[in-house]
Amino acid sequence: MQTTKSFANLKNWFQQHPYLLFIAPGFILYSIFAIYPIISATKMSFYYSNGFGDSHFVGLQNYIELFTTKELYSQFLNAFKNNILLFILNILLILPVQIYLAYLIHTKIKGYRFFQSIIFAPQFITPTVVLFLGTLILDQNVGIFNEFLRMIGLEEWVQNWLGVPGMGIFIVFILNSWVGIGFSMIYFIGAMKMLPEEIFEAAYLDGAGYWSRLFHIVLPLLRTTIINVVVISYIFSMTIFDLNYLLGGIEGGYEHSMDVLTLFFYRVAFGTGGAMGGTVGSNSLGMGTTIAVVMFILILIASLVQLKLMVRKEED
Amino acid sequence: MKRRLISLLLVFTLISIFALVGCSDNTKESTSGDEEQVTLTVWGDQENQSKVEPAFTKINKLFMEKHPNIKLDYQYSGTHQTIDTAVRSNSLPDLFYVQGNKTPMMKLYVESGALLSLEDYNLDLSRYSEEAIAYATVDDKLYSSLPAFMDSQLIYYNKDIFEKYGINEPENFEEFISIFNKLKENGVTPMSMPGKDEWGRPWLAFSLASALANDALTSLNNGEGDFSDPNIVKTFQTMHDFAKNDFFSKNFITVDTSGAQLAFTNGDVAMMADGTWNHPTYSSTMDNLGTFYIPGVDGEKVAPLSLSNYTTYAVAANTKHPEEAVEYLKFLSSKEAQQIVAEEVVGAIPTIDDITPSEDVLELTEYDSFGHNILTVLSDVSTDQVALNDIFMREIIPGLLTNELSGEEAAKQLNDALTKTK
Repeated sequence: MQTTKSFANLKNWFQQHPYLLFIAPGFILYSIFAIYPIISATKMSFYYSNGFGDSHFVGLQNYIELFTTKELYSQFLNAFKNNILLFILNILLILPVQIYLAYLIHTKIKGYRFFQSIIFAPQFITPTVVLFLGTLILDQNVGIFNEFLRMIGLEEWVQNWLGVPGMGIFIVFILNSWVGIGFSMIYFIGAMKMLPEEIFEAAYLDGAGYWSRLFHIVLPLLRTTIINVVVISYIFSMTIFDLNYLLGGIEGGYEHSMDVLTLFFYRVAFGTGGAMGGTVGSNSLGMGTTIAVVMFILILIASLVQLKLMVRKEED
Repeated sequence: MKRRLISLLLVFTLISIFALVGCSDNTKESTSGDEEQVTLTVWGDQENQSKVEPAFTKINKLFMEKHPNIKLDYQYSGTHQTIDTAVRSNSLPDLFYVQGNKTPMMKLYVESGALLSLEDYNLDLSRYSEEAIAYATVDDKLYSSLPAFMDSQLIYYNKDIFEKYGINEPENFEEFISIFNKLKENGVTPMSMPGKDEWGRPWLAFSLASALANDALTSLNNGEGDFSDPNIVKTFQTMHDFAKNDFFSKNFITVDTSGAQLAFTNGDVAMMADGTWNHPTYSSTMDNLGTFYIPGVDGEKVAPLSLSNYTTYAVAANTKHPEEAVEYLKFLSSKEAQQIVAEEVVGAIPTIDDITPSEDVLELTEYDSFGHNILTVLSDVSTDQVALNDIFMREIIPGLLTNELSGEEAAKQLNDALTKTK
C-alpha cells in the first residue's frame, strides 16, 4: 500500500514538472560522457599512476610537482603562452575581419549568398586535409608558393615553410583562421539580422555614411555578441590540438615551439610515440590528469568572467 | 490502439535485433566431434600491414592446415596505442606483436602482468643467437617468439656522382670523411638530412655509433662504463661537425623525410643515410644505387643490429587457450614460417643461416660483423623515470644538428641522465 502511494506521488510530481522528462535523456548522456570523466579525472590526479602498475594516493603532490619542477613548469608555461598567443592573434586580427565580412554580407553586396557559403565552407574540412592543402601550397618541392617566389625572382627565400623552426605556430594560426573565419562570422550575421531595420533607415536619413553606420550603430549594439565570440575564441584557443599535433608531432616542433596545453597533456598522459614504441612515464596518468584539471580551471575562470560581464550588461 | 501496437512491435523488433547482433560474437566456440574448436584472436602490425600481409596470409593458412582445431582471427589492429590501451584496460587479444627489448614497453607489460611466461612450454631455441634470445627475455624468462630478421642503417649513394668525381666506396673512416670534403669542393651537396623528422635524422648517428664506438656500447650494455668514452664523443662530434661544415643540404632543419629522399633520388645530393627497410624505395626509383656500411677507423664494417619484429608475438596472460596460442608462437619461431617471411616481405634480411634471403637483399648483407644499436642500448639502461632513449632522440640529436651541443656536451648530458638511473 505504501509503495503504490509513493509511486502515485512520483507520477504526480512528474506531471507537475513535465520538462524534467524532456531534459532527462540529454542530462543522463551529458553526465555519462562529460560530468563523470571530469570527476574521474580529478580523482585520478590525486594518485601517482601510469595505468600499468599499481597506483597510490598522493594528494596534491602532483599539482605541487607540476608548478615546481623546472622541466614540467617551463613546458606548461610555454604551451600556455602559445595558447594565449593564438587567442590574442585571433582577437586582434581575425575578429575585426569577421565583423567586417558579416557587415558586408548583411548589407547584401553583390553575390552575398555565395560568399556566405564559401567563407563558411572550410569548417567542414578535417584538419588532416587542411594540413595536406597547406602542404600543397607551402612545401619545398611541390608547393606552389615556392613556385610563385621563384617566378617573381625571390629564389633565395624558397624553403620548406612548414618546417622552419619558430614559424610553426604562425602557420597553425593561419591554417586555423582559414578554417574558422566563417564560424564567428555567422554569429555576427545572425546578431546583425536581429537589429531593427528602423535604426538603419533613420541613420541613413540623418546622413550617416557606410562606415559610420558600422562604427556608431552596429558595433555598439553588437557588444554582447562580441563578448560571446571573444569567450568562444578563448575556449577554442585553449583546447586547440589537431594542427599542432599534425604539424609538430608529439613534441610540438623544435624546442616545443608549437606546443599547446592539450598537446602537452597528451604527451604526458599517453607517453611518447615513435616508430619504436616510445616510453610512458611512471606517473603519466597522474600528471596528465593534473594538467587536464588545471586546464579546466583556466577555462572555467574565463567563462565565469563572461557570465559576470553579461549579467552586468543586462543590468545596464 | 492499433498505432500503439505497431509502435510496440517495432520497438521490440529493434531491441531483439540489437541483442542478436551483440550476442553473435560470443558463439564462436562450437564443439564439433571430439576436438574442441578454438579461435585465437591475433593483433598484427597495422602500420606495416602492406608489407607483411602477403607473408602472414600464407603463414596463417599453413598454420590452420596443420592445426585443424585452431582457427585464427588475424586482424591488423595492433599499434602502440591500441596495445597500450588494451594492457591498461585488461582487454588484450590472445596474441599480439611485441617489439622485445628494442623499447622499454615489453618490460612494462611484463611488470604489469599482461604477458604469459613461456618458460614451461619448451620452445626450441637451438637456432637462435644470444642477442635474439635476449630480445624476447625479460628478467630471465621468455615472453615472446623469437626474431629471425634484422634491420640496419647504412649509406646509400649515387653511383654516377661518385664515378664522376673518382670516388670509391670507403675502406676506412678517414676515407669516408674525405668523400664529404671532395664532394663539397666540387660544389655537390654531399648528404641529404631530414632534419625535421625525429625518425628520419638519427640514422646517420646510429651507423656512426656502431662503426666508431661499438666497444663502448658493449660496455654500456653490460652496465659498465659511461658516455665519456672518447669514441662516443667522437661519434657525437662528427654529427656536429657535419652540420657545421655544411655537409648537409641548405636549410636541412626544415626538410622532412620525403623531401630528403626526393633530393637523393633526383640526383641533387650524393648520399643518404637511411635504414635497410627503405631499400625498396630507392632501388625501385634509381638504377644507379650503391650501398655501403660505414667502415670504422680500422676498416671493419660494423652494422648496427636491430632485430625486426616481423615474427615476434606474445601471448596475453589471461588468454583462455594458452596451449594453442603458444603453438602459434612455436610455428612463428620455426624455419618454415620464417622462410615464408624471407620470400614474401620485401627487404627482410634474415639473421639465421638456414633461411635463404631473397635476391634484392643480398647487397644489404655486406657488413663484416654486427654491432650494438645505440638506441637499443639506451633503452636497456633506461628506467621508467629516466628515459635515455628519449633524451637521445629528442635533445641530443637535434642539439648536435643545430650545433647547440658539442660532442662533449652531448656526452655529459647523457652521463648526467645515466647517473640518475642508478
